Amino acid sequence: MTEVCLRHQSVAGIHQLAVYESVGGYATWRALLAGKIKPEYILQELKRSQLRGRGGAGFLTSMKWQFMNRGTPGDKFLICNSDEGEPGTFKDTLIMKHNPHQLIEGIAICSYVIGASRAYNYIRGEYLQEYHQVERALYEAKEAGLLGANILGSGFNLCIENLLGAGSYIVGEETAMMESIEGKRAMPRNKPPFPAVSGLYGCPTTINNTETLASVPMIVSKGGDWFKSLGVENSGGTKIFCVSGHVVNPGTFELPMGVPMQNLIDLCGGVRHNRRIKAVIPGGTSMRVIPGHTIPEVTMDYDGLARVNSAVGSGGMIVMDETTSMPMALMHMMHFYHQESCGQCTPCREGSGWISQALKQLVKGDGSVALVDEIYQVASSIEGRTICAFGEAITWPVTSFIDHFREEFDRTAELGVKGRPGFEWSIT
Amino acid sequence: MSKEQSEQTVSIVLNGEKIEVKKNSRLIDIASQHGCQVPRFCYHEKLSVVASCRMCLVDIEGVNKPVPSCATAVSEGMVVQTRSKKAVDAQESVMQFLLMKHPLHCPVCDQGGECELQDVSMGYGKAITNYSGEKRAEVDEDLGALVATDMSLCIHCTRCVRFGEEVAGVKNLGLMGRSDQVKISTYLERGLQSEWSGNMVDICPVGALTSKPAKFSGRSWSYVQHEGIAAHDCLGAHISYHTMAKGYGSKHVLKRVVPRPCAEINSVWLSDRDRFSYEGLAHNRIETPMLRVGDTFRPLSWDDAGQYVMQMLADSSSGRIGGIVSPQTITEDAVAFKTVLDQLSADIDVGTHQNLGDELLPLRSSQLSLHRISKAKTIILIGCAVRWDQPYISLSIKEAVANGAKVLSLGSIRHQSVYPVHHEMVTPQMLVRRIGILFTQWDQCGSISHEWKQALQDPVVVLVGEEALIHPQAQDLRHLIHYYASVWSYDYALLPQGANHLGLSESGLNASQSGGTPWLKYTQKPLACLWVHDLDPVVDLGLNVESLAQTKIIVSASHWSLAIKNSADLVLPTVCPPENSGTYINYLGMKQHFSQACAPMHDARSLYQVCADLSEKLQIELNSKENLTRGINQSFTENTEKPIKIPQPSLVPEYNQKLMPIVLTPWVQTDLWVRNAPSLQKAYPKTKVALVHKEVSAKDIQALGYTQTLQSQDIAVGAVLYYNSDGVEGL
Repeated sequence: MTEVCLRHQSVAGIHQLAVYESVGGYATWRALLAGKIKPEYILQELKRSQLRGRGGAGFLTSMKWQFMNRGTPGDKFLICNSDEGEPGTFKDTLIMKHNPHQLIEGIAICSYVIGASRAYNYIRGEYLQEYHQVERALYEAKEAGLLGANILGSGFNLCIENLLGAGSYIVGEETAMMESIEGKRAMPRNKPPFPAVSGLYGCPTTINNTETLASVPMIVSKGGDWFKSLGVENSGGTKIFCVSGHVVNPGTFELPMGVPMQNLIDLCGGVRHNRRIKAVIPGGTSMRVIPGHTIPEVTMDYDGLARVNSAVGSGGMIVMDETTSMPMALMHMMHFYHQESCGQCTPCREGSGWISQALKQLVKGDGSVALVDEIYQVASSIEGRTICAFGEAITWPVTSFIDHFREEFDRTAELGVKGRPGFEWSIT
Repeated sequence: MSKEQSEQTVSIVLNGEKIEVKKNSRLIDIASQHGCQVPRFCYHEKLSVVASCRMCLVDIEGVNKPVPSCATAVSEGMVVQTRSKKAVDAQESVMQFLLMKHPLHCPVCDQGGECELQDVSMGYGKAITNYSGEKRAEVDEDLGALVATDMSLCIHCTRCVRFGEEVAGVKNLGLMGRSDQVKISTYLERGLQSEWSGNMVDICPVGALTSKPAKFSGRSWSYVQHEGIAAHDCLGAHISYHTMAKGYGSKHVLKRVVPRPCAEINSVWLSDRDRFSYEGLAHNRIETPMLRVGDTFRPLSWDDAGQYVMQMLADSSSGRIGGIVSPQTITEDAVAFKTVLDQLSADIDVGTHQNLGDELLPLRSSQLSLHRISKAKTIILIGCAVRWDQPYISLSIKEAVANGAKVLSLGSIRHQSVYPVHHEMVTPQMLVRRIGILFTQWDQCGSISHEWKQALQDPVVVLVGEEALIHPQAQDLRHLIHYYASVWSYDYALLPQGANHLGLSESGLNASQSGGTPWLKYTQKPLACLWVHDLDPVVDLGLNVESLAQTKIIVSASHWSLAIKNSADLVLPTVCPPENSGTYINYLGMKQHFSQACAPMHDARSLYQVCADLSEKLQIELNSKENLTRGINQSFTENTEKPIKIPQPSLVPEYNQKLMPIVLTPWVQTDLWVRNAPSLQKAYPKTKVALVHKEVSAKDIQALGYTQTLQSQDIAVGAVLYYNSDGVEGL
């Protein structure tokens, strides 16, 4: 198995600076500072590697970095988005816990390439352990002179700061994170202007996911082509998949892109009690659900999942077996989105509550076919009309659940799911 | 089209029509200007853009999603549809979301009829909703005496929050909670602490924030609007009075005041004092002419009152006669008053604590537009509580600060402000001398402090406020500032109290050209008769009523006060500015005419009418009011000529009196009218403060009515602050 980010599986103690350096860590960083490799080279290797943003949107990392002009004067910022809030996703926690130095090196390289002398690593509030681990690693790196002012005599200054979030889902949205760093409520900004033009404190800012940045040192040291060859066409490299739900051994796996979904499920020991799979959410709950019967043809890469009208997202895969009540599962998800809407813009603020309320009515059996239509229609009227992508995060699960399982929704609307375990708790 | 022009404009296609528009302008404004109104809630042209209500979504060709037109700048070749299916669908669905939890009790909502949500839903919403769930119910918060809340109606557009942060400079309100639990609330539950709080009523698109004094007192369609000029500060903000239309109610009653846009003065805002003072019109009014009989008053007819006035004046012809008018007296009234009293060789003056009369320098020698203040790089405040006393000037200073200006301040009290001020503390005795040192050694900043030297950057503006203008050495101060203005090339302005100081001074009412606190000389020499117009002899003039026992006092005023009750021999009910017509000349030299907004209450007459009657009896020729207005228009020219040259003033010594109270009038205590506005009085502290030298005995100061002391780092060393009621706020 090839690891890019989760290298602690083969290198014990890689969270320590000495161990990390012994396997080639910080070599790229030193070479970059010494002028042995140029930022242009790194951009070129990134372009070859076809590394795409691992946070969910899948935007080409090399292109994002190119939006920033290293030479322009004035402050620039890098933000590492470690606010892993997407339900079903638990990958960045492992990187920060077990391989923090690689993340720090990734942040440092990116900062150098885009010309930022200050980088923030925004860690979700619940990740206190991870925060301390990265803090410790930062301390080690600073002590070793790898960060700070005039690093290794290169004249380049870099200060990396860890920030702990205060428990919000939407702060994972890039502009909301900037607001939060500025000390305001985490509410997304209207775009444009995009962060590369006016981001944190109104300065050009690049924001990348933890996994994306942690992949960078390996890509630069081993070459973009090597990374690309790990995956499939259009989806280079490896990706960390987090499997949860009705599998025997839920877990996190770093696998090459393009791995068949069935293999991933097999790695988890299959579905518990040998049941059939009813549906899978492949990339965190914001992505569209895919019905169980399509699994054999699905591969875990950008194109493969697009073919079944879903997406890689953050890589949080949720498996649901045949006993799952889809309306109830959706209700739980919508309860979450209802709670986490920032309340700023109208469609999401009012729509999320409406859907959540209607789904609760539906699982009680107080609805009718018309209620299912209403839910579908409300969800559709949120999509594309909100400030941030949260609108889509509400709409896509609702419309895909109803599209694939319409018959079950209609039935539930009439009969409810009374008697199912957890029912009483779930509707309160 | 020239090349230059084409660089400034772009062509876009709006609803199928090709138009040339200014580059970088906002799509929402362009669409509205060209007759394609785009519905909006969160967007306000004077506030920042957040694009959160999503009501102004329009369809732009080549863009997948509908786009908020408030956050979109026009660009070359843009093809916009404001009423295409995509746009209409988006607008209708947003409207449905907005109305979903909004109580639909428009018939009993105070905003009904002037509600943006109501209007927009009629034009851009659907007739029915799919939602049948519960409505939102919020617990209302008490925001104080001026703004009423009904938070169940709030649509979370955050205009009020942004107004507080961006215009008022006070972060009282914020967005709390998230999702549909989000609500607008104060952070500390202390109500609104801003001199601009009433504007939140204007900008709130729904009935969530309404005017507490005007709540449920009328419907927007039952009002008639009259243009007016605010009368409480030296700028005269443009306002509209609303009275009941015929058939809806009494024409004597002013229902509310709203701002009238004026770029030179108040933009689209209005300070609370100008907005809520209208309430005072109906309170505590003097109803008929009254004659003192022992300890009580006897009502008179106007005819009889006229006889008594004549008699009192005739009786006094052997002694001196004095006339004092308030600084908010309308120019025409004042001219008539002067015409009549001049016939009796009386001394006439403007009643104020400020020391503004001067032989060398007429008041109009200092004029400074708000625009120039907002463009200044350094602003020097001399004894100036600018935030409260002159709110519109404070807004301009705030604008200047936002553009990088530094504000320096010199005085005995550190006043609260909403922008950073570097304050230099001086004792009251030293104030004028310190300024003298500053101006004679300007290039070294008068050896003041390092910060001052750092901050000085052209253009410089000097503003002289209440604390300096009531100083006994105020004349020396004026000479200093005026002389050195041309030497060091800065602009300066005096900020007098009252709306019409300049108009009165130009009409020759400043009798005390020799200087000294003007009204003081009446108390020093015995007077046979004193006519006080629209002033409280004690509060506004500081007269010792007992010493005037031999003087016949005629008071013509709109409102009763304790001192009027105690001292007046004859009381004549006069009108308030909204019940009158005439001209104000503000400190910018702007002549502002206004006509009568509502009929006078009870038996009140304007001072002009009173004087016209007298002139008949005295057989003096008095011009008609129209002719007076015409005369004022012709005689007063703006100060375009070269600045008046005065000899170089000498450095004044320290003022060597220890008992030198600096009595600062709270901003809602400036005149009789505003003192009788109940909601304003409830909302803002009435405290009068006096700053005296440490060595003055507490007994002496208590004799002047001040009971409590305060020592704070916000007042000058060596001084003690005394105050007379419930605590010192706004300091």
